[in-house]
Amino acid sequence: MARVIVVQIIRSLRIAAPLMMKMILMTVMAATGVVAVAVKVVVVVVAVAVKVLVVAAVAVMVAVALAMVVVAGAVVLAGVPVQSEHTGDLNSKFKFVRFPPPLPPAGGRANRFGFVNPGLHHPQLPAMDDANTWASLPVDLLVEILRRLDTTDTTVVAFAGTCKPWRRAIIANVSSLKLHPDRFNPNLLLGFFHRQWLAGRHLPRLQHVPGPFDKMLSPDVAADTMASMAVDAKLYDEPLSSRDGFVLVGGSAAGGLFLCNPLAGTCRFIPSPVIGASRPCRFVLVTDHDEPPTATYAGGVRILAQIFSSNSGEWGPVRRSTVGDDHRFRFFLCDGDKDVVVCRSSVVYWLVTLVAHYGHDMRGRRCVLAVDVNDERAWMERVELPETIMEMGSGVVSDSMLALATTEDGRLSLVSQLPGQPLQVWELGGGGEWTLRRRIDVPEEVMIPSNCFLNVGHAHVHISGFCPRSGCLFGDVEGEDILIDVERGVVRRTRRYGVGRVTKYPYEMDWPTYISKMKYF
Amino acid sequence: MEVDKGKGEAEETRKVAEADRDTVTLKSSDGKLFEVSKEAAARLSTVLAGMIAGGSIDDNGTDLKQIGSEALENVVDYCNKHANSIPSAALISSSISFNTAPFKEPEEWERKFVDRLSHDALFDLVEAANFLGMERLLDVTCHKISEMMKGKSPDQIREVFNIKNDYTKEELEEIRQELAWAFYDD
Repeated sequence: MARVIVVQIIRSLRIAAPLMMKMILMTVMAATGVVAVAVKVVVVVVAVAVKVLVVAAVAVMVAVALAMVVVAGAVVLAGVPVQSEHTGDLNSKFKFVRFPPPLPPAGGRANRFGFVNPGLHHPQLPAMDDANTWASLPVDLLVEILRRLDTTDTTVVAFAGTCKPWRRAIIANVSSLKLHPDRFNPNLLLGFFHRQWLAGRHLPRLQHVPGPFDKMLSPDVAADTMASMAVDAKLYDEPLSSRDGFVLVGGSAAGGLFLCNPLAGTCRFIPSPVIGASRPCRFVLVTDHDEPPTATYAGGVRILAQIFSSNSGEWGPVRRSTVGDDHRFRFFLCDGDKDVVVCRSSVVYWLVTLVAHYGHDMRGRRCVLAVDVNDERAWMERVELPETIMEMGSGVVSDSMLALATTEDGRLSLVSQLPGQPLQVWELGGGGEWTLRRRIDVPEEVMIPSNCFLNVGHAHVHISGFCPRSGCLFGDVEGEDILIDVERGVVRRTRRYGVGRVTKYPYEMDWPTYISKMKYF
Repeated sequence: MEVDKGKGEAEETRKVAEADRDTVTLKSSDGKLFEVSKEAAARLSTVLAGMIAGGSIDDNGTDLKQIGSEALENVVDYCNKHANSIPSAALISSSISFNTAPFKEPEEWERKFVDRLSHDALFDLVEAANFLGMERLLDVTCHKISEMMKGKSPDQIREVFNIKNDYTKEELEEIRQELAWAFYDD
C-alpha cells in the first residue's frame, strides 16, 4: 500500500521535472573558409530553480564551404522549497523542502522539538530517541543536511543503505541533492540509440547493451515517449544526440526537435535552430552538474553561438565572439561522435583539423577547440595534441586514429590508435601538457570476431564514440560491437550485431534517475 | 554546580544587557540564560533577526524552549566567535539562495569548533541551527557530518552515528547488490 503511494508521488515528481528544466541549445557555426569558426550563444535562465543538470546539444554540419555546429543544453531543476506541514511560529520562518510523506500521517511520532513528523513514522520502530537520534532526524532537517553534504553519487547510495528513514528521504528528494558524479560506472550504459529502418519506416531504436537494466526499456521507447505527447511521432525518426537519460530526436520531415527522457517518461518540443533550419545538423547534448563556469580563455578562432532555453522555449539571439583571428589556418570540424566530448559538465571539445592556409605545408594538423556553454561569451580554446601523436606516421594521422574521451574527474583525454599497437590514452594536464596515462591492449579474442572462422590478420578496431558516464569508448571489430573501458583498460565484446556502422548515440542512465528508482523499503 | 555558575553569569550579563542594548539574552529549555551580541545574532540567525526586528525579544531572556542549554551554549559560542568575521551580505545571500551561493569551506576555527563536539552535541547543534535558521552554522555542521560519512560503507555509517539497522535480511541482500552495482566492483 505504502509503496503504491510512493510510486505515484515519484511519478508526479517526474512529470513536474521538465517544467522546472532549463534547456540551452547552442548553435555553433563554423566557417571552414578563411573566416574561421563562429558560434552563437544565448543562455536563458529559469525562474524558480535549483540547477542540477544542464543538457546541451551540439550540431555539426560540414558543407562544401561551411561547417555548422549546433549546441543544445538543458538544465534539469531540482527541488523547489515548499512549505512543510509543520506548525509553530518559529518554524514557519524556515525553508522546507518538499518531502512526500511515504506513509499515512496517522499516529506520527513527535520529534524532539515536539512537532509531529508524519514522514518518519514507522510502526516497526519503537521510539528510541537516545539510541537512535540520527535516524530519527526530522525529514526536512535530514534533507537540509543531505543537500549540504558534498556527496558523490556512490556515497548517496551508501547513505541510502544505512536505514529506512534516510533511504526514503534520499529517494524522495534526490532531485534536490547536489550530486557529483565521481567515477565511471559501465552499469550506467543501457544501450545505443540509432536510426533503423523497420516495417517500412525509420524509427529511433534503442539497441540494448547486456547489463543489469537490460530489458528495462523497450527498443521503441523514444517513439513511445513522444507518442504520449500526441504528436506524429513517425516524423521524428532520427536520434541526434543523447546524454544523462536524455535523447534528442528530430527528422528531416519534422518541424523542430524533441528532447525526450525515456527513463523519466518526459518529452519536450524544441523548435529548430535558426542556423540549422535549412541544413542537416548533428547535435550533442551537454549536462551541467552545477559547476562554476571555468575561466575565460582566448583562442584563435571566431565563434557564433545560439543557445536555446527550454524555460523560455525559444532560441536566443545569435552571439558572435571574436577571440582573435588566425588567418594562417582553416579549421575543419571532424565529423563523428568520437570527435566531440563534454568535460567538467559544461565545456565542449571538438577535435578539428587545421590546414595551413598559406605556404606549402598542407599536412593536416589536429587540435581541439573548446567552448564553455556556461559562459555567455562563448569562449573557445585551442589545445595542441601531443607532439608524439602528431609526428606519428610522418604527420599523416587519419581521423580514425584519434578519439576524444574524458577522465573520471572530467579532464580531456585523447585515445590514439595505430595499426599493430596498443591503444594509447593521453590526458590533458592543467598546464596544457599531454601525459600518456595508459596503454590498452586489445585482447586477441576480441580481435578475432566470433563470426569469423578465419583469423583475419588485419582486423581493425573502429572507435565510434565515447560514453561519458560509463567511461567506455564504443566501436566495433569487423562489425561486432565492443566496449573499451578507458579507466580500467578492459576491452569487451557486447555480443551484439545487427545495426552495422550507423551513427549510434550511447544511452546512459543518470544517477538521480537511478537513485530515484532504488527500492523504497 | 555548573548550573548555578551558569545562572550567576547569566544574571550578571543580563544586567549588562539591560544597560546597553547591544546584546540579546536567550533562555534554553532548562532555564539557563545566555548572552549573545545582537548584531551577531541578527546576522547569523534568520529567526533571531526576525524576532529582533519584530520586537519579540524579551530582555529577561527570550525563551527557546526547543533548545537545550548545551546546544544553546554552543550556538552562542559560535555567534561570539563568528562576530566580525564574515560580512553579513554574503551570509544573507547564501541564506536566500543556497544553490547560487556556493558553500565556502569552513574556516580553521569553525573546523575546530565542530571537531571538539561529541556526536550528541553535534546532533543537538544541527537541530538548533536548523531551528534558529542559522545557514552558516548548518553548513559547517553538515560539512562535518559529510566528512564523517565520506567513503564509509552503510555498516560503518551506522556504527558512527549509532543508527539501528532496520532492514530485514532480504532487504540487506538487495542493498548489497545495489552497492555492488553502484561501486562497480568486479
